[in-house]
This record gives sequence, C-alpha cells and structure tokens, in this order.
Amino acid sequence: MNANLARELTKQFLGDQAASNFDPLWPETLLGLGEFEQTPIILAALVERLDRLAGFPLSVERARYEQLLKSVASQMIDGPGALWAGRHDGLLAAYRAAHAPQKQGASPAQGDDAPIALLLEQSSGEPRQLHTAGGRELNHYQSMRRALANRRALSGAGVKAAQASKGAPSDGGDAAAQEQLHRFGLMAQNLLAREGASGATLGKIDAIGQQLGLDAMVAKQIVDGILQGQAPDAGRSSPAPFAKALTAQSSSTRRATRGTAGASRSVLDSTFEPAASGTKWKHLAGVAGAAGVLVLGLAGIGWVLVTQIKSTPAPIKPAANAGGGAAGTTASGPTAPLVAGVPAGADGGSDASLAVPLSTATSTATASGTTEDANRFVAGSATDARSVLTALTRLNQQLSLGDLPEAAKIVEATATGQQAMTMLLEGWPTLDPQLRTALAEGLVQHALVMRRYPTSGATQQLAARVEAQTARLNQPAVDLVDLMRTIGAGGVAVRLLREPELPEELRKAAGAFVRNSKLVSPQAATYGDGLLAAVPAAWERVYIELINPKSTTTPAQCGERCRDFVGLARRASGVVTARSVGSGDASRMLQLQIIDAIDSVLEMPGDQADGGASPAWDQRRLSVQRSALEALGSALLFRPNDPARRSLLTWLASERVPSLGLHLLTSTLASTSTSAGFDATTVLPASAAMPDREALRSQLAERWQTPLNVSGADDASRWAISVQRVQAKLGDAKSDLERLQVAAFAAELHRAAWQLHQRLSGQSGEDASGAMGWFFPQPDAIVFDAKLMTGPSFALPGGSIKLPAQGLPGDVGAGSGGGDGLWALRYLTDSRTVGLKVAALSDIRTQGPRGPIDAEVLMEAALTTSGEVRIAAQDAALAHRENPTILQAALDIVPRVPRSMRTQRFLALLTESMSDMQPLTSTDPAWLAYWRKTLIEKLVERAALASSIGSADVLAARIAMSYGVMLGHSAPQTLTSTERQALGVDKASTSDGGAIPAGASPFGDGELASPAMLASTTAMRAGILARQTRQALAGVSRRPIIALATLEQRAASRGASAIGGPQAFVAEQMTLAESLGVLVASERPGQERRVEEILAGLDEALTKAGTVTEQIARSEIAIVELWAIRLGVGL
Amino acid sequence: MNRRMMLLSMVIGAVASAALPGAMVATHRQPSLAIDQLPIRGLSARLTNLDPATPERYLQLAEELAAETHLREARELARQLFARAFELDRLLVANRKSDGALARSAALGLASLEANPDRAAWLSACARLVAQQGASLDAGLSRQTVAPALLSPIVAADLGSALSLARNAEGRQAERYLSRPGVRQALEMWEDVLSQGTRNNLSGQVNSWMQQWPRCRTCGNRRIVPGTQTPGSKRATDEDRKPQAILCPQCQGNPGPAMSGEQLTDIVRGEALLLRGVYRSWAAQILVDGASSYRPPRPERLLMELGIDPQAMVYRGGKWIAP
Repeated sequence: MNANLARELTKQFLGDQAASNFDPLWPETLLGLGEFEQTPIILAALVERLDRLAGFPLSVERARYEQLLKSVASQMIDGPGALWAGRHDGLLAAYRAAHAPQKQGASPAQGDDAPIALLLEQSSGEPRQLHTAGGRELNHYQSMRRALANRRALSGAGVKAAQASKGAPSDGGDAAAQEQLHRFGLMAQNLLAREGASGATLGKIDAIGQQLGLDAMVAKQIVDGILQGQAPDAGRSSPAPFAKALTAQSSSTRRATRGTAGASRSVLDSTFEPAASGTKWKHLAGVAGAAGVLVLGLAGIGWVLVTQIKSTPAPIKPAANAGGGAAGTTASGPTAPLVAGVPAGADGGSDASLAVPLSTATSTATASGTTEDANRFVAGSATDARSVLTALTRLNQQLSLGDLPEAAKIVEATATGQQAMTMLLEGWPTLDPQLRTALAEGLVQHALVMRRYPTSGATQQLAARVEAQTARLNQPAVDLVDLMRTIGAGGVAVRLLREPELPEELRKAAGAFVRNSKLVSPQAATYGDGLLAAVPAAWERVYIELINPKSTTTPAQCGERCRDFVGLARRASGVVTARSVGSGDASRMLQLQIIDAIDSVLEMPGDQADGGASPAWDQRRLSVQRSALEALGSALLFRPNDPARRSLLTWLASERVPSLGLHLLTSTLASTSTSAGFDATTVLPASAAMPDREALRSQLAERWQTPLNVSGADDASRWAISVQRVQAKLGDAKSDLERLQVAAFAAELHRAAWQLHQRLSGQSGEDASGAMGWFFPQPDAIVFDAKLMTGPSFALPGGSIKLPAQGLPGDVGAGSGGGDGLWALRYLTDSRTVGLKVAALSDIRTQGPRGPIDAEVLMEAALTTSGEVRIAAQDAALAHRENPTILQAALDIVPRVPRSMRTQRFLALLTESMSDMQPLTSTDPAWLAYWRKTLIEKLVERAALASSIGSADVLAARIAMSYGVMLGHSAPQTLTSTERQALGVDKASTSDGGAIPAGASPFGDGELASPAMLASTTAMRAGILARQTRQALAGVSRRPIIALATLEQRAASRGASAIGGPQAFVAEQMTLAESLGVLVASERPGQERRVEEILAGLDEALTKAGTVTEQIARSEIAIVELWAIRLGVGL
Repeated sequence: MNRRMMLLSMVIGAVASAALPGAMVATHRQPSLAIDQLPIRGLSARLTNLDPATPERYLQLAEELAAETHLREARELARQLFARAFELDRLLVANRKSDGALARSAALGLASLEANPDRAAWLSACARLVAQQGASLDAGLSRQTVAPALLSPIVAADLGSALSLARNAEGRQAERYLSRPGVRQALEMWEDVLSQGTRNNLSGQVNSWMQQWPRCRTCGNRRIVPGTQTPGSKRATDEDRKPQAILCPQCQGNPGPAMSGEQLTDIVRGEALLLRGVYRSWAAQILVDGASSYRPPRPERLLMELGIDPQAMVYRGGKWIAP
C-alpha cells in the first residue's frame, strides 16, 4: 500500500497522532510498536487497532486498512514477507479468548499466553516460533535479528560447512531446495528450543534432515550454528543501531548496507573471507535461524559489503526520514573512501554503488560514476523480495497444477502477487538484477496462473496498481518512492506487455501506462529495459513541479527531487546491459539522461499564465534552476569521451540557452567538478554575451583538447543559411531535374548534420573529424547546374518528362533528313551475293544505324538470316547495342523470329543479360513475355540515359552517396572522371570553403558503382537509416509522438505501394522523417510541437505534390529541418 | 495526386454518381448492361437487401461479380461492393470490433480488379495497413501476389506483340496475337494504361492499323521497290548497269501506319508498365511513369480515391444512397 495512503487511512481511523507517528520505514509504527516485540504484544496491539476500526462503518477503506494492519502484524511475528494466513487468524482468536477478561485494563503481555503458545505449536508442521525453556516465546522475527547480531553464528562452522557442501544450492539455485533448507532449519530450531539439545532431539533432527533429503553434514552444521546462536548473550549483545538498521532495511541490500557499518566489528571476523560473497551466503543464510538471517544482511552485497565494513567502522545512524527518505537522511562519521576493486559482477555498477556510504545529502561525482547518496534509497517496500519470490514460485506451481485449490491458497497467492508487485514498483533500486528479473518473471507467471481464478480479483488488483501509476504520470512527484514507482511501473508494464497471453485487464493497464508515459517498448523488452525507458517519464514528473509557478514546493525540495531523479536514473541505467542501450554503455546512457534533464532546466519557460513576465515567477525560477542544476550538474561526468563535454560546448554556442542558466550550471561545476577542469575562471557571468560564451568555449575546449571548429557557431550559421537556401530553391525548381538537384543538396545538408551530431556526441573518431571538417554545400554553391540539363529535351509544358515527339532518343527518323534508310536500301538492293551483304553489314557496323529503318533491317538480318550474314549482322547490332533504336527494332521483330537458342543467346548479348538469362524452350509460353520484358527494360534504360533525364541517375547517386556516408559506406572508385566530376566527389570543400584534403573526401573511397547502380541503392540505404533511427529510439526512449508499433506498421505498408526506385525512396524518406521526428521530439521535449508541425506539413505537401521528384525534395528538406531542431540550430 | 491516375480517370467513363473533391478517380464508366442482365441470380434483390451492418454480404456478392471478369459492368459493380465492404469493416476495426480481415480481403479484391499496377499496389498496401497488428497477414502479400489475372505477363506480351506487329504492317500476324485468349479483353482493359490517357481509343486504332496495313500494299513489306535513284544520289552513277531500287513510296521503307514519336513513346511506356519492368535507373523509371508521385496507403481515404461517396452505403432504386 502506498505510504501516503497508509498515512491517510491511519489518520482517518486512528487519528492525527497515530498518523504522525507512522513511519513508512518502520511498518510496526502502524501498530504503535517498536521492533523486537513479542507475539502477544503484537497481537494485543493489533486487537486494539482492529477494535478501534470496528467502530467505523464497514467500507472498502476499512477493509484495506485492516488488511494492512494484519500484514504488518504477520511480518512482525513471522518475519519479513510473511503473509497473514489462517494460522494468524487462529492466533488472533486465541489471543482474544485469552485476554477477554483483562481487555479493559491489563497489559496484553501480562495475560495468559499459554493458549497462544499451544496454538503456535499445533498450528503447522512448519514451526515458526521459538520457545525458550521457560515457555517464553520468542518470535521468529526476533530470533533472526538476534542471530544476525551474533558473530559466532555468522562465522560459525555451520555456515562455512554448508557453504562448502555440494548439497547447498548454488546461487540462482531452485527455490524448492531453499525451501527445504528453510523448513529444516525452522524445525530444528523449534525442536532444540522446546526439547533442548539432547541426544534424542538431535536424533529427531537428523531424521528430519534425512526425510528432507539433506546432506548429513549440512544438517549438522546448521544445527551447530543454531546451537551457537542460542547463546544466552547473543541477542543482548546485538548493537541496537545495527538491529535498528536491519529492521528498517529488511532483507534488501540497501538495508544491509546501512546496517553493516554499525555492526561491522560484531559481524565480521577473520573467517569471513571475501570469497564468501553474498551469492553463496544468501542461500545458507536463508536456511534457518541464524543462518537464515544472513541472507537478509548480505543479499546482493557480498564482498563489497565486507570490504566496506572493514573500512568504515564508524556506526551510521539509521534513517530518520519517513517520507521516502528524500530529506534529512544523513549518516554520521567520516565518509568512507570508495572501495577499490569492487568487482563488477552481475550486480553491475548499481549494486556496487550501493555499498558506497555517503555522509552527505549531496551526490559526489566520481570517476566511476557510481557514487551517490545511498541513504536516499531506504524508502520503499518493507517486504523481503526473495521470500516473496519463493512464496510466489511455490504458489504459482501449486495453483497451476489444475486441482481445485483451497480458498486460502488463492487468497495467499493474491496477496503474494501484490507483494511482488510492491517490490517491483518500489523495491527495485536495491534489488540485484537477477532477483528483479526473477521477481518480474514470477509476477508474470502469477498473472497467467491467476487467470484460472477470476473471482480471486488478483488480476484486477494488479491492474489497479499499474493504473494507479498511470494516473500519477501527469502529476508532480511527491517523494522518492513516488518516483520509484513510476520507473518501476515502466519495468512492470513493459515486461507484462511482452506476454501474449496476458489477461486483458492487465494488458490494458500496462498498455495505458506505456502509452501515457510514451515509453518506447522494444520487442523482447525486459523489466530492466522498462525501468530504463521510464526514467524520462519520471523526469517529466519532476519537471512538472519545477516549472509550476503556483507550486508550494521550495526550491530546496526541488533540488532534492532532482537528486532523487539522478539516483534513480543511475540505478535504472545500471540494470541494463550494453545490448539494451545500443551503442552506448549504461554510464553513457545515464549521462545522456542527465544531460536531457539539464537541457530542459536550462530552458525553463516563463510563467505562461502571466505571459512569461511574472517577477515572482522569475524569482522562483532562478531559485529552482539553481537547486536543480546543482543537483543535476554535480552528477555530470566530464571524462574525455563523456557526452557532457560536447553538450556544454553546444549549450555555450547556442543562443537558445540563456546565459543565466549556464552561469548557474558552470558555478555548480566549478565547485563539484574541479578535476574536469572547472574552476572560478570557468564560471560564465550571468549576463554574458555570445563573445564571452565563445571565449569560455574556447577555454574549455583547450583544456579538454577538444576540436572546437566542429561545433562552431559560424559553421552552424552557415549550415542554417544553406538550408534556407535549399528551401527557397525548391520554389524555383520547375523541372524534375531541378527538383532532384534540390533534393541532392538537401541530402548533403542532411549528411552534414548527421556528421556533426556524430562528432558532438563523440561517436566519430577525432582524427576523422579533424581531417574532414564539417563539409556541407555552402550557400553560394546551391545553384542549379545547367550541365545536368543538357541532352535531348523531354520537357513538355507541364513539366513532365516525355520522349521527344520525333521518337525515342537516338532515333533519327527517315523524314528528318538524317539519312535513315540509305543503308537499308543498299543492303536490300545488294542481295545478290553474301559478300556484298557482309560488306554492307560491315559498313553499318562502322557507321551505325541512322534511324529505325536501318535498325529494323539490320535486326532482321541478325535474327532471320543464317551463316556469315547472320554473324556479321549480329556483330554489327551488338556493336551498337547502346543505341535505343536497335533495341526498339529488336522489340518489334521479336514476335516474328525463330525461338531458338541462338536467338536467345543473341538477345541476351544485346540486352547484356547473359548472366541472368533463363534459357527457355521454344514452346515455353513465357518465351515471348520474358524477352519482351527484358528488351523493353533495356530500351527504356538506354533511352533515359541518352536523354537529359539521364542526369536523374547522377543526382540520385549523389543522394545515395550522402546516405551511404551515414551508413558508413565509402565512395565510388569506378566512376569515370566525368561521373566523379558530376557527382562532386572530387570537389568537396570544407565549411570554410577550403578544399578537403586528399583522401578525406566526405564520400570516402572504395565503392564500386555507376550512377545508375548507385541510384538503385538509394531507397535501400534510406530504409536502413530509417531502421537504425527506429532502433535508436529504444535507447533514448522518451515520449514518442508516434507509437513505435505505428511506425513499424506504416513502414511495412509503405513499401508495398511504391513502384520503382524514386517512389520507394519517398516511402523510406517518409518513414525516416517520422522516425527522426520521434527521436528529436524525445530529445527535445520543448520542440515536440514544432516536430509535429514539420511532419504534418510534410504529409500535406506529399499529398499535394504532382511528381515524385517534388516529393523527394520536400521529404529531404523536412528531414533537414528536423535535424536543425536536433542540433539546436535555428532556421 | 498521381498524375497518371488523374489522366486515367479522365478517359474512363463515369459510374459513380458523385465525384468527390480531390478524388483520384472522379468518374467511372457507365454500365451499358442492366443489372438484371448480369449473370448473378437475383442480383437486384440482393443489392437492395444489403445492410451496412453485415459487410460480409457486400464482400460475398462482390466476389461473385468479380468472377465475371469478362464483363466490364460486373467488374465495376464488384469494385463498388468491394469498396463498401472495405469501408464498413474498416470502421469496425476502428471501433475494435473487427480484426480487419474482411477489409483486407475487400482491398485485395479491389486490387485484383485493378488494371493499373500503381493503383493495384496502393490497394494492396491499404490491405496490409488496415489489418490490425494482431491479425495474421498473408505471408506473400505484395503487389506481385495480388496482381490481377489480366496482368499475366504472357497476355501482356501477346498484347505488346500485337501492337508491335500492327505498327509494322503485320496486320495478319497481329490479328493472330489479338485472338489469343484474354488479349482483346486485355487491350480493352488496358488501353488507358497503354495510351497514357491521352488517347482513349487504342483498340479502335489498332483495328484500323490492322485493316489498313495487313502488309504494305506497295512493297509487301520488302521496304524497297524497283525504280531509279533520284539525280544526285551517289549510287546513281556507279551502279547504272545494276537493277535499280528505291525505298517504297508508300511506306518510305518503314511499313506501317504513320505514327508520331509521342504515340510510339506512349505505347512503349504502356507496355513497360504492363510488363512491370524493373528499373535500377531512376531516369528510366521517371521516363516510364512520368515521375508519377508516390501515394502512401491511407485506408481511410480509399473510398475517396475511388470516387465513392462514403455515405452512400445502400442500394435503392438503382443507386447507391445514404441509409
């Protein structure tokens, strides 16, 4: 239950005093108790509370609160994770019966507890209570704490022996084995307490161990440990701070971490070796009694914990803050140094960072990037995740067997599922990744199993938990736990949605969360992926409060929220692998998220209600910005490859970022990041003008030895002017070729923007960037190239491209005076001898056909004659196969020619399709279709190349090369010098107008292609780029303006309706523009509307466009406009 | 708007009563056969009994009519029914009351009736898009697999050959190709594509060519005839002793009807479209399709693109009207 809700209900039913005493970190305060209370006292308190509740009308709230109180009581009695079960009802009834006469005045502890003890003994075969020899009952919870405090129990031979035993489950072992060990430990503990360590008792225990299939040595060592843990002084010697800390932290790692410092001397001894990491200890600790406690103290921290304890002997005070640990949680004593050599195991940086004790509320950036205020994460669930997981696994198995289970089992499963949900929502920051994953999987299985029991309400309850988080999305975060839940809900929702058989209510709830939080939910997403994806949504909740002029939250509290956010983002980033975050690692991902947050704080808007001119808001905004930037800025890292360097340089160069914000940020950095080169001289004055900012940029760039020219304001300005020039040029474009020229320019600006971004984000090598400069077509160079328009004109008044009125290119008609038919006349007339015919064919081989008559006669000779004449004719025809008229003649004659293999070979040679030829028999019905299609394809291509429209391939090749650079391709080497010149391969220039050094062409080297071949790759390249962009969304993950599923569906359908290369390219451009738009909007939340305007404008323009060339140009310009937003360059 | 489609729409007769603004095809051919003359039993009654609540009946009737591919009127009516079935089911999809399978089938039905490959591809893309994500898509759903039967490359090649022969004064051979199964229907159906919309009676022209040019009546397609070279010819003085020949005065050495380059170009383009050539060259593609614009699939605009009033969903008194 939400802590706030619990407080509200407490206030409603028990009054203000009880509510104020309630501390979410100490659930027992709900019962008005402290820790280590005996069961009768717990029951007395529970009865007292329940009786008070009985005075209220029955309601849902009352029922929920009763359930909450019982849950607290059950956990106090039986330990963390224990559920209120039938036996507790029995205990409660027994208590009521026993204390009925004394109810009015006597202390519950003074009553007759015999019935309770009896009930405890009889209640189950799984003894959970420990009785002293005098009949005094100690609750299991208490015994565990005492045992934990006993150094000998922790370091005892039992533990070590069990650890060494092959019978002990390994890390990650099955829950059933743990359960067996747990049962054995409890039973042994009970017997020893009740009967003493007699030979008979030990014999019974041995028998129990055998029945459970335990290794005898393991059983013996466990019993030894229990006996040693029962030393009379054990519990009393427990240092209170440690116990208190443990109570607060339950079994989770965070609590263990805090508790260890105070108990270090008692916990550790020389036998506790680093190798005995938590992964092994936790299982043994889970066995029973003292060992069972160990898991609570050591889970997930292992060696780190041990080392830390050794190095920080000073006790740490327990957390005092109740409201989620957001404020006032401090630790006394010296701050321990960072633990060197912390192993980066499965727990990763996240849990390693947990072991780092921090004494102040201010995070300290470190080289490892993992330092933070661990004390801030003490809030959250009070249940034991591993216990919940064990119970959940067991119940899932039992309920999935098919037999009708008892109602209590279903109720228990429902409650356990709720606990698992609580852990996943609130407890995730301190759980190790494996446990998180296992718990999430357990929850999914629970949801699937509970479909069989629809009346249990389990699904509805789970859905309600997610829905509650969805409802919170647009509200300011109230505390750390609130933020945790948002991120945790992201993990839960993303994981749930992966399950195809999920109950519909749950699917709807998860879908609503993903939709409303605008999460990117990649396929096969894990719980950890979901956590990471939900970080931006958590930041939104923080940001809402920051920019709320009417907020009553103080600036200091705003800073705390930002610090909370950083801590949570750090933990969320730590749970994913490099695979999940694309090219960056977890640290980089974290840094980018913090940079995003800083970016939004730097651009905090004015008071919209007052038209942005409210002095009160300005005052508050300044304070809030200061607090937020202090919190966020101190978490930035400025190592050579960290993105923060480039981001700061970009902010300094960008006029959209006010100097005041940068002043606050650089002030923070001067005090927190001195090792990164910041000091008093790097603090930007609040009223700094652009020259001052440029000077600071240069200063920082020099200190960091970072090339500055790539992000210079001058370059950006020139790039922007070039974009504007291209935009204007489209209006001047009247022909298809002119429109394609505009598209080619835009593609080059697109490529330049991509290159700049690569370098700003540190994804390109410094050497390459230094050599190439930031190449893009300069404004003056954006003119139509008249040379590209040369050749036969096919432009009709409407602008479309048509073949010339006199026929196909290369066709010189008989009536045109070009001499067509003269050779034909001679050949046809000289029909008397083969020699004359061959001589005539030799002539036309030399001079070529003058028109269709010559071509047709030649083709008739090639395909309908035989012998030398045929050979000579085919030789002459093949010599001029580039001439479209020859191909036209072949097309016309092919229905009349003999369908022999010789004919097929000749046609294949004529159409240069020998390698692709599919030999067909003369009777094959597809013979004619195959060859007509082959001939007509070649005819059209040749005709196109012979005309001015052939330049379309050159321009398409330029576009293809720009896209190729973005895909890491290199430039064509096999182009002719003319083609290279036409494509501009050799005349690229840098942004300052200088020539690009040899070998540093922006198009690279080595690609084998011709313009037509390059043109044919354009759509494919755009498609790959679009796909890569969509994949990048999984890493950035922030509020997609178009759902990923929709993007994918549109991408898949567009290709099906495109015919030909140009249309296919437009289809891919549209997908790329949409994908890029989503990416840019996620990176620049303040620019969402502008992005949407660009995409909507593109959609409208494409609908109105009359030609595909116009569509290509408009799409490419829209993509460049999106890049301008991404780069923060105004147009 | 696809420029070529717009041109096509101009040459196709009108069927739809209401031309919508911006519609791709503003008009359709007017059926010359009465409804009752179509070979579907009780067609009028079935049309009148159609209820928008049951789009599957629209689809069923459309499929029956579409089977009568040799009847233009049946195809047109099938198109009307397919389109309405599509729209009715699409609305159900929007309300999550259908998985879109019916709409997908209807769009594919429309594509199968479509003579123009551009539009057929667009319709098949709409079919792909309208189906919900969860609905299984046909694995081979593409414009190739939904290509209508009349787009058979063999028929297309026969038609192209007939045109080549007719243009080259081989009228008799052209007639043989045209008489092959489906070729004349293909010519009728495809003349808008082959003629690029600028001439709307290609079949009439072809018939005329074949009649006028069974062969060149002067040279018999030999291109030359006996005669004396005109003075100034370089061969006149060199070969005085040999038999003299000249280019046929009737056909100028090029047997066949006189044809402008534009006409020839259109026929080549038409056949290129008909054979669905694949061009790696952008220039070639632009030459063939005239830089025809790309139209992204938009299921919600399908009826508008076909020039069908989305309100007119019931058939009363021989007209489609709003319910």
